Amino acid sequence: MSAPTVSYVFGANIVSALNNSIALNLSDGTAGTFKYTLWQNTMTSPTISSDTGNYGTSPWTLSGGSPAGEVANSGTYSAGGVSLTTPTFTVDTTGGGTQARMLWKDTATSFSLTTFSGTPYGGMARWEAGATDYGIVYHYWGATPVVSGTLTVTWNATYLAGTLFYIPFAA
Amino acid sequence: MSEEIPFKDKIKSINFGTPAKPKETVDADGNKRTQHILDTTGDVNGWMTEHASGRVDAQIFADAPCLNPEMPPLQPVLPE
Repeated sequence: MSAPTVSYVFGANIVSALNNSIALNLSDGTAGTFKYTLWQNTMTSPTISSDTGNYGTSPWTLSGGSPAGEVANSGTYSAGGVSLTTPTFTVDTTGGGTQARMLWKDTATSFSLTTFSGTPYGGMARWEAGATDYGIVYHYWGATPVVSGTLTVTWNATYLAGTLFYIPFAA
Repeated sequence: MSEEIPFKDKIKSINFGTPAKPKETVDADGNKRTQHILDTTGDVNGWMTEHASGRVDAQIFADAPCLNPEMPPLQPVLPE
């Protein structure tokens, strides 16, 4: 058992969306539909090629599940995760020429949890639309910070601040 | 019969890398900030701040994976 030790995009959901078999809206502007959940290393390791990131379903079990998956409620962290602000796709052309890429980025560049105690191992962004729930991207943090205070997570800023994942137009 | 490897090629095979050590700073209030080495490659994904009061804060700088897993993730960008 272990949380994923790589960061990855939930490709199975992207394939389903491109095949028009699920209505995955990665630019859903409805407040609170995108959540960032925190996970412990006690969860079962997912099969990345088929992982849909269905919150509350193995391997993405809840904090009281068996095994415990999500980080337990603490401080300003509540089960289900922190709401992202307004993530959407943006084209970035840094580098010019053939250097272009699509960034899935939030308008917020970070979030903070206060009076938080826990040992999060990684975080997963998901889209929660009614009864349907789809994982979008998982971030492996590389280790487990033992936090007893404030936890701040800052999204990637290699190209544009607020980036959670990317798709290059050309390799 | 094995072929002798030229000395210059042997030199190339030596790994001079050493694991990075956490970099610590202590402010005037006694708060210790430790750069938290988060993986075996020595990449720094964030840092911890251990306050004199016992409070421990963490700041994570996330990478950004690519839909194509053969492309490397965008590495965490830590402020200076």
